[in-house]
Amino acid sequence: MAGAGGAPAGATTRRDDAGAGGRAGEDAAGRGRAGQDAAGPGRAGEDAAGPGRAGEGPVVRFRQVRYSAPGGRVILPRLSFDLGRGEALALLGESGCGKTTTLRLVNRLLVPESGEVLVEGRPTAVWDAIALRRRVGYVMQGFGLFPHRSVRDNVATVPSLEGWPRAAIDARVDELLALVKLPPGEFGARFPDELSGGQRQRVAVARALAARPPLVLLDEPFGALDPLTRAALRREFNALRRSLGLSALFVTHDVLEALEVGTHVGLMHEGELVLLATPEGFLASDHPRARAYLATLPSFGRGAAPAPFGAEAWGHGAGPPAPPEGRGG
Amino acid sequence: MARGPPRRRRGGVAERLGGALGGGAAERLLAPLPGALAEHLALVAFALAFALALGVPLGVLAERRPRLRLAVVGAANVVQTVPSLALFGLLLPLPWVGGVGARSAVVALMLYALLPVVRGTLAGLESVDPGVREAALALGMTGRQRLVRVELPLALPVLLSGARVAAVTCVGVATVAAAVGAGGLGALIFRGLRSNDDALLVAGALPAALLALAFDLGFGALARALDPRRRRPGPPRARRRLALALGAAGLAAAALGLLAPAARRGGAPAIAVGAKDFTEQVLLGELIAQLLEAEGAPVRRVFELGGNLCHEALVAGQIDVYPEYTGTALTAILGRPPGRDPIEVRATVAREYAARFGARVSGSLGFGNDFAILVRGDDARRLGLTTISQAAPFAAGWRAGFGQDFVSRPDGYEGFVRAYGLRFGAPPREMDLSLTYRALAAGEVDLIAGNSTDGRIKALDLAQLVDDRAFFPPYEAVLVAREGSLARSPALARVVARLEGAISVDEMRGLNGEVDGRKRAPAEVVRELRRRKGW
Repeated sequence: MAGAGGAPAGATTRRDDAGAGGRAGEDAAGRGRAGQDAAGPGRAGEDAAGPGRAGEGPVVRFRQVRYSAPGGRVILPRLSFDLGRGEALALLGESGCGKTTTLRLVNRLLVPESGEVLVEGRPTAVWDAIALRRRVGYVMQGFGLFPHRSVRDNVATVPSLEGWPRAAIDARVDELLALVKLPPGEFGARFPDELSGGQRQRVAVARALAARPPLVLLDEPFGALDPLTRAALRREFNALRRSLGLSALFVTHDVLEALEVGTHVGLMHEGELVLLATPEGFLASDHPRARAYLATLPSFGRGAAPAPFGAEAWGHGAGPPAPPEGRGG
Repeated sequence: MARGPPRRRRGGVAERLGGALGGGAAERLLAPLPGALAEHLALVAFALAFALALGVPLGVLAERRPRLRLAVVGAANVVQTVPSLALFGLLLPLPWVGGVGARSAVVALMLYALLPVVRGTLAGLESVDPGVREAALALGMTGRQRLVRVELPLALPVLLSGARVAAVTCVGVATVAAAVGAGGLGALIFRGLRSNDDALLVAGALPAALLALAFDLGFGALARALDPRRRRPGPPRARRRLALALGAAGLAAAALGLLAPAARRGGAPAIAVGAKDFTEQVLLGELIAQLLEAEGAPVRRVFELGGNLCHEALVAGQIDVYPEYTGTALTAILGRPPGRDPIEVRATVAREYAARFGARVSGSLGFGNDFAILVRGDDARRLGLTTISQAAPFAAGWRAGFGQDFVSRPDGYEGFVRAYGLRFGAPPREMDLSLTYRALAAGEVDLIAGNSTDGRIKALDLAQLVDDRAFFPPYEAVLVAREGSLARSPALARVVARLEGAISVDEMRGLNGEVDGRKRAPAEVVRELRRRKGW
């Protein structure tokens, strides 16, 4: 079905490109279709992530999606993009630009006014909302951990909703807690208010991954943490995501984070995706908003090379490479 | 009949309690306590259980639908403002929920408990972090799962504080439930108030206060034990189980308290004997009940009903028989002006009752509970007085004392002095009715208007002057029974027939005096009477 409507992969803001259907995104100017060029990324790990339905086609596809707030204010005039399997798309933009709305359209917390959002090839309107949400991990802003449940119980939420056998749940929780570096024996019985911010974030990630979703949504997943913790968690998440071959759609207003965690960066402004590129493409873009973001990075601001911290984070050619810390899971 | 020194009626509380606590007090005060406490607990527990069962879903609904919220909270608010006695009264005539006894009391209490429960539920749900709610939604919980697994557990502490308010309110308001025959600690309080028995009053009020305190502390502890955000020792599951077990045990105990009396009653359709809420009525009700039991008929006692509840209960078929006064029936029930001729009044009442209520009014029991013009026995004997007319000439040298009620009502003081052409030497002293007896006996006043069957007439050696111009409306004691019940139960018909003309004013005074003056149990006094009469 991918081919059908031509899935205006175009991330351009021009409405006229809507029906065009062409692969608009070949040029590096950033209208690129997320991911096809970076096709490789997580494929290797896909087994670990559990089989997505059919390896073909994007995991998420936005087709001319329009969404207005209940008051009538248009938040997304017409949004189209694809998220390929194993890719991580970072939606970058200032508050109110529609990034969180985009995220919430994916797991049907919101429904498009027109156009459609396809998850694994099926429009969200056709999905059973409950089934869809259990198949899509979600790490929300502030993490939203259940304060009355222990760490174990929080992580076990979706498997137990899905009716997994007790033993399978226990094994999975142990596995996940180890994966996010929270030894189950030490942390399993704790309650969220006994954890540091970073530990809570790890629990939230573990909870989102519990039922082996092929796709996770993350809303400012590293926000409100101290800089050192942020950096550490970013690296860990990167490694984890690659090793599991997860597809991820995440929202941030931090350009450094977008460049480091995303295989692709989508720059949003007033409900439109003004630039969609790989981190390299983004760095090279002359789009004024991209330049404005890059100017906030100290070394870029002075026109210096991105060397000091950049290389490790995004200096790896097309697509996410095997980074040093990525233990191929 | 031992008379003993007359008790001081208006001393310090301690003194009064001391006096009341004399002779067999422990038994008088403590014997009814466990039963009353169990009834009270049962009322509160059931009302609370229903209020929670209804209020929590209402609160949840109200939280989801803002428009419903206004209606629900508004309605619950209105109920809360209805005075408790009025609410009980309003419920009485309703089918299903109303009626005399525990049912309408539980319904009324539940209505009172509803507002705090609904409010608590609403506030509790609103206190749940929106981020946590969103997480529950985004993780794929269904509406029900979100409610049961996330929202309600997190709302619980606030919800329980609402339930706590409801429980304490219920314990307090349940004391009023005695007025609709639901029993409980209020029955002791009312009895104490009526018979001026402070010890009995305290015997009801103190446990009620302690019970309220216990509920308050208990709910506080429960809220702490269930607070999901509090660290506490032991795994949460065990704690929750303990709390559940405690709750279940409490409810079971309450159920036992409520059901045990019902079980004792047995299966046969009992004859429900009603009585109003003062000593004489309780004695007459007890007499009917004991005579029925002697006939082998199962009996249910529905005593101490306030106001006109007896009548309403009889009409509603909830009691079969109760003692009434012809004057009361004529004016308060039938809404007629007071009559003068006892025979005519009784005939009118009997005719109307048969036609309007399907009830039969018996012949006079042999006495009336009329206004009684009383003088000291000494004076009556010395001056040879038997009627009010004979006393008129002496009025100029006398001072009268009357209760507020008598002074204010048209068929009271003014009509009275006009009818007999009385001219007292000084304006009458207006005082508390029960005080007038003592004032008369002590010589502070020389003539009072009391009740003809008051035990103190005998105890204080007072003399009633005959109302020879028939100024006071007659309040002859009669029995009112449902026609259907009489037809169904020959025993009831026999008992009613036996009691016609069977008790003199003097006897009734004596019986009242035994209970009010000497603090004896009505059942015991009635047994003694039956022995004496050979019934």
